[in-house]
Amino acid sequence: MSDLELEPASFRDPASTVAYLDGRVLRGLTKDGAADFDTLAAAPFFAKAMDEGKLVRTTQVPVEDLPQSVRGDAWVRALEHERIPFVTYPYEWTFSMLRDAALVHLDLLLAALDADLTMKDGYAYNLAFTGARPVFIDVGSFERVRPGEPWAGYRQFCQTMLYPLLLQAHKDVRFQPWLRGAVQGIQPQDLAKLFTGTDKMKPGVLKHVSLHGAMDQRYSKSRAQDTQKELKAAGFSTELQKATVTAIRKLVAKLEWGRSASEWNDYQKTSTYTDADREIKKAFVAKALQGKGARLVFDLGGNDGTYSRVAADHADYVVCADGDDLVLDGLYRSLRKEGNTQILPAYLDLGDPSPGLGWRGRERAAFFDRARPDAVLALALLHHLAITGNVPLAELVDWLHALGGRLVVEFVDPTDPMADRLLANKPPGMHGDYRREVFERLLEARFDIADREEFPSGTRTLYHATPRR
Amino acid sequence: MLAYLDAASGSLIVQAIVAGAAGAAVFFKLGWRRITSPFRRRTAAAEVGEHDEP
Repeated sequence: MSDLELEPASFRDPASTVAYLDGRVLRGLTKDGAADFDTLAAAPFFAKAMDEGKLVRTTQVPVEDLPQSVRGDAWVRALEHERIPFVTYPYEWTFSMLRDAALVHLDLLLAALDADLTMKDGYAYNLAFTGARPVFIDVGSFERVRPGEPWAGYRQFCQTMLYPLLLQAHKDVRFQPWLRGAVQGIQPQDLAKLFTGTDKMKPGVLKHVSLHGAMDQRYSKSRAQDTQKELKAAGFSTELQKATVTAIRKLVAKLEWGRSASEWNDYQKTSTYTDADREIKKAFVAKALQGKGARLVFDLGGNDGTYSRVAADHADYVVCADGDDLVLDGLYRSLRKEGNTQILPAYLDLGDPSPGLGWRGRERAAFFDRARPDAVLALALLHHLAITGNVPLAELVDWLHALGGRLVVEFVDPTDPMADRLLANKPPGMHGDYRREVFERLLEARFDIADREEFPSGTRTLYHATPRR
Repeated sequence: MLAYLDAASGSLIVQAIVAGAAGAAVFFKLGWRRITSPFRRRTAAAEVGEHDEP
């Protein structure tokens, strides 16, 4: 029998723990957790939310399926969840992704409040994406409502979802580095200092940020348990909790990121690609992946997802990673409209990919530690990393080899206008090694080259290569 | 029973304001009770938990 592997991020809530066994995603519930789950399973919204894809598909399995954990949790019930093909974290989501995830979270909470349930937290990490669909994955969040109490997860929701959204919607500041900086998100008092003057008039700021920050400071010595009792005595009710959540939902639904232009937004229009070049690339990608039965493909520097879409015709799941959140946000919105659950946009600076974060750096795995792709696309990517990022070619080839999958890679010659533009910002001769013959020699040392194709311009070459063990 | 998270008092109280008019009434009643609690009889104070043993 294989060993039970506890999910490194599932330890904060003692009532419910996620563990992996033979590729299955299992959840152990204590007596308290099981009682909450029974109420959830009986609620009409439970099956509906799973059918709509808002809640991760969950079934009860015999508790014997779950070996007792070495940690000694007293599990009395076991659940099995459908596996999310590739999990990305909120600092890898774009604005629209975080907003849509927040709306799913609030919709589920409102449905729960109609069924004598609430949520014990309000954490962005309780959601994941399947393609362009946000899915709530923490079934252990639902608990029986205690009359007279406000939502215990409100603060966490502010810190990891509402504040990042307000920051980007009202100040045009990217939230991702803030969330990557702290897994518990942005503190009320920190954000309050950023919203000054007329900012306070913008939707949501006065109550959720300024007042919240002030209250937080004023009542920092009060015990939450006493405050809950006092609120109950003053007439707080489940109806009021519902009114709070409804007001937050209304606010979140109207938040927009106004930015309309970015460096790469018109990439497809301003790049020197011709339609013919694009067709060559599409055909090359299709040929490389056809019939290979790839389950997971990484499209690194995937931009607007053109080649992710080609890859998706020949693979189960594609992660389109790019460092331009505006282009990626556009891709997400189109995929969402199409109901696509096969292509996942991931905001990632490939020169500085997400590291391991949280407790012992293991709670949230580093991006490239989460899964091993069967195939990797690196199209019009290496010249950015090599020239702008100063990463040596040998280092790049080593990295691509370490990813482990078959590789479709494009080399852009120094004489190509796009590479020339980047080289113009560097001292002459600095990237003397950035040459096709050097790249080919390095590639051939680590990979078997199955196919290669030169563009008619003569300044770009495509390679299909398989890693040598 | 307490949730596993520290809900934080300030974050609980501000929700009354977010809830709208009915919530604001709770908010002011809470403030009033805090001002008047030293003058109320002990049983009333105990009811709201201010004298709970830690």
